Amino acid sequence: MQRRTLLLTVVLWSLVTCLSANEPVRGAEDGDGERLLKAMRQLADGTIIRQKDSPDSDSFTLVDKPVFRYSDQPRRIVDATLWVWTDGVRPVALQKVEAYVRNGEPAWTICFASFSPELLEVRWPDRTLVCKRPGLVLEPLPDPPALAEGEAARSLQLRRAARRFSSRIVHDPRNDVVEQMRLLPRPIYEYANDEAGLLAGAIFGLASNGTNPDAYLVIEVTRDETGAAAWQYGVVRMTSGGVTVSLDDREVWTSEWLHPSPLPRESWMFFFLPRNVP
Amino acid sequence: MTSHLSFQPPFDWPFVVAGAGAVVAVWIVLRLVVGKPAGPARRTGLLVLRAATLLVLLAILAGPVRVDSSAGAVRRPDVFVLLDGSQSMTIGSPASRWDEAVAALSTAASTLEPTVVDNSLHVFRFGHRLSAVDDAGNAIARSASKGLPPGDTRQLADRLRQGGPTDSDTRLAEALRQLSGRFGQRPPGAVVLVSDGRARDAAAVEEMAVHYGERGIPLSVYPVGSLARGGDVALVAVVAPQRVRKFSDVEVQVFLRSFGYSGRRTEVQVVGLDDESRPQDVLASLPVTLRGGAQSVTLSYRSDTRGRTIAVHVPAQDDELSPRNNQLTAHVDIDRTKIRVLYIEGGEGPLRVVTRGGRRELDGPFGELREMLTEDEDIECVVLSELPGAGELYRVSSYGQATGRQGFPETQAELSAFDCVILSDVAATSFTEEQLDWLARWVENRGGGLVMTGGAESFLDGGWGGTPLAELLPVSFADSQWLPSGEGEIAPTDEAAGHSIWQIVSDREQNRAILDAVPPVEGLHQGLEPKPLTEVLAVAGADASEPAPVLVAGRYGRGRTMSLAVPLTAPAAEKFLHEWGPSGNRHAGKFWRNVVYWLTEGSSIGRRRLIAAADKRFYRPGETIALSAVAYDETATRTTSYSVWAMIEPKSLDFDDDSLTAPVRWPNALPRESGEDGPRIVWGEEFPLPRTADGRYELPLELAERLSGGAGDEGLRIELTAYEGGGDGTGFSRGTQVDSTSLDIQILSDPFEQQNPFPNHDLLRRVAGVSGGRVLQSPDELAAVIADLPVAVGPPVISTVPVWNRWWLWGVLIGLLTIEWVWRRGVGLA
Repeated sequence: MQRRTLLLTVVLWSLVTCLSANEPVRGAEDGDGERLLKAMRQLADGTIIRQKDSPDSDSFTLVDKPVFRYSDQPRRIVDATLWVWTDGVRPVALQKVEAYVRNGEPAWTICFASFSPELLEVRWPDRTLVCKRPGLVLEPLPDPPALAEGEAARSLQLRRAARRFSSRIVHDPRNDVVEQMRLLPRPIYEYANDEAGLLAGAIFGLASNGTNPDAYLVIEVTRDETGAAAWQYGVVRMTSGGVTVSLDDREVWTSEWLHPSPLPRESWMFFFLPRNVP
Repeated sequence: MTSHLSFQPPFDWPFVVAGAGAVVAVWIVLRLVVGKPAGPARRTGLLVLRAATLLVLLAILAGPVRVDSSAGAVRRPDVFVLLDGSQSMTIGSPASRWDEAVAALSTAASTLEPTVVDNSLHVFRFGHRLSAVDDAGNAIARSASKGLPPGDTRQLADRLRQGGPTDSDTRLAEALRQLSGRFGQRPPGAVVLVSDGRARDAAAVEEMAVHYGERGIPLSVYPVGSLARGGDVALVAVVAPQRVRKFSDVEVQVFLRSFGYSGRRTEVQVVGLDDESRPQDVLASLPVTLRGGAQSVTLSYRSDTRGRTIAVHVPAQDDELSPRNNQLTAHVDIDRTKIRVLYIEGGEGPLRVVTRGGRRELDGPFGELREMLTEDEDIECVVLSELPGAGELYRVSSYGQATGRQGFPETQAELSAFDCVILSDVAATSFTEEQLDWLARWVENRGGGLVMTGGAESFLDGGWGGTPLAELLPVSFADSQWLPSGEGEIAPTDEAAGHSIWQIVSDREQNRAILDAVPPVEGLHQGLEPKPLTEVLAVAGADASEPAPVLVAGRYGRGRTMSLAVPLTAPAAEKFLHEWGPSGNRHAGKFWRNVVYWLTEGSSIGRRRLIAAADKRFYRPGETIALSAVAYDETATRTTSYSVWAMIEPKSLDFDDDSLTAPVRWPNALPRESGEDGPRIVWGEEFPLPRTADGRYELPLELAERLSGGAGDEGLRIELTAYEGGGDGTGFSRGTQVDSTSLDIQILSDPFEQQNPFPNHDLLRRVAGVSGGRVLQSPDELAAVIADLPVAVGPPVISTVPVWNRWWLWGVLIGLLTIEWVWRRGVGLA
């Protein structure tokens, strides 16, 4: 009887070991801010982004500092930064660099998404992403407000417009694991260029685990042919989860759930790299 | 217009006579000297031509003109109508004072000739400020000219309705002062004041009326509003959270004002509205004794699974001035942020492998509770269990799709990802001291919810005495004892029957019956002592002289805790789990989900990096908002290494408003980088929150003494953002954003408009009396004031048109001369 109990225990123990990860998460000691940030910057610097149709053109400009820093303990992301590339007028790409614990080992997750209406070609030291479709498709914003004068007032208007949106994410369709996403109140990035007819623009994060933005809401105000202000919005995913975005409680954008694998997608992808920085 | 012909020769008659005499004299002299003209020159035809030519010339010289004469212009004196647009004009039943005023104006207009009012009638509305009602005179004229029946308000009301009685103050004296600047070159014939007379500055109004009278401008008044009423009850404001958790208690703060009903009892109700804004169900009600003046009450209701619009309502009194101000609405959304439960099961039981959703999972004594919890899609459950003989905790299910890890969270940051921890029959020795410290800090600082259930390894028997968790649990258990064969009755106390964890079904009677039938559980911890300020939600031995507390709830720091003296897993809780209610574990599942929702009501902060708070939910003008924030780094450790900036946004983005500043004074101690130098913070202007010695960010924000426009209430949204690694620059140069959050602040004033709902007709009479005006009682009298004004008629307008200055006349003259010349040439005279 004792042998059978011992055998059952060993079998179940093995099963538990298979079902769960083997190694513990490293926490605070992993988040040694400065060293991680320096390594993250190097990884961002090593990313070259160009327009697909003009590979000989200059690459886009990386904003000096990461625009957002976050962690996501449920996903074992102990520290992460978000970087922005611009074409001098508006952002064309965002990339996450995440200090991750993968199967118990320190790793980097690189997650890139195009925000460009053009097709991009992205090169990392060991791989390339050639976008098959634009990363951002803008749609007219219904019932837009009259554009206010002044940068501060416009910024408030962008926030107010963003709060008309809500979103949810499907983490696991088999088990119906769905979660409401949180709109980060402050834009992750704001931009404007009057000469280019871009009167105001902002990228808002839609987060599902506290502060980790899985998708992005872009709201722009441009000057149309008649000189009037035209409000537009678009959504960009940076997750394999299925995202649904609603505007005034009406669904306006969806992306299907994808099996989480590091494969190039049409305008975004993620992959892992070994992490030597403790 | 009349016309006649007149002659206006360029010369007077003596000159003409003299000239004619001179011509005759010259003719005679020439005749005497030269003799008769030649024969051909005396032909009759030529003479006729010359005579005709001479007649034409004489006609021109006579200066014939046509004189047009029209009557002088009728100058009607200007009439200024001042229409009260303040909020007190919304009072009235069945028609509001505003409707009464608009109807009177329209009726009066319909009896007037369009020309009477044409451009001389000027309608202004007053309240917080004076403003012209565009084209009001023309609207009235159109109304009249179309022959609309008396009382038809369409034309004028369309114009006036664009504003409505929305002003939150009545500055009548200021309006009269400003109006005098709009009079033009001559004073108006009359000023008509259409109002309820409820004005802030009554003494100044009378002074202005005297001044008008001295200038010869009578102020006639048209009082509106009924005095034959008992009083009024008005809801001033409703403060409800914009977003709440499912199945949580929603507190609704109601501010009401009453007048004339002191001591009378009424009831405040919170009513749920359906999608078409119709009343659906009464969510909460509270009897109230009216005290006169302002008072506040708090009601609470239980949220369900969907956001909804609520109406707060006070029944109208029989003789109330206006029932329209007895209801206000608010919308409350549901926050469906995922609740993460860490369920630690120490009880031994049979383990087996099951297949769910195509995946193999380990099932055991924890399986039923895990399944009950995850029936709610907003709850995620991670289970730690002790395997038989292993003596350690292992993770048997994990976060969503992510792969799991062994054991208890290995960092404080990982623990902070959870909202609730269930300790079921697990010994204290299963945790390290550090882990117990993390748990205590997690409850106290991060608002986690912790529940310990009964079992051989719980409370004192599990070695929990003297641990950090003994301090935060809601019971003392120094003298407790685990009785494995004791019957653990679970009898909800009468006082706790309304507690959210006991809301199994919505029907009150049915719910009471369900609570009376909670099955017993085998095993009980005897000797648990509820700590002060805790709630006993269920007892065992309810009929005994000293019932034993079974379920006790309490609060610790930001978090909530609960102790359950009985076990929750089979076989001890077999009946509780399977025989409570007709449909299996439905009631037990709802009970446990209620427990999780109650425990986690304060834990929405769980995975955020910036937590902000204000000391109150609503403020009075002049009070100070104590704004504070706490920031956490990636290890969930509180930090002050970030910079935290705030900015204020209005609830209503009306940038046409003349107020571009928040009703908040710029903090004196703070340097200002925005370039603004006014005393108030500009909407959207950013300011830093200073760090404090105890690891917080704090800033007192002093509210202005008066809200913009004298409003009764005003909402603010304060947005806070934590940055890392930035200086004190502006915009995104501040550094890298770490998190942002926002707070809704409500400011409630006690505006003059709502302090006395009765009209003040006495003031209006005095105004008319001292200025020489009349008190008008009907639309006909109002029309008469306009129609009977003396009309000034100007001198007739005369215009003259020269009749001789015509082309054909000159053509005849030239033609005659030409014929005469050609003729003479033909006969050899030229």
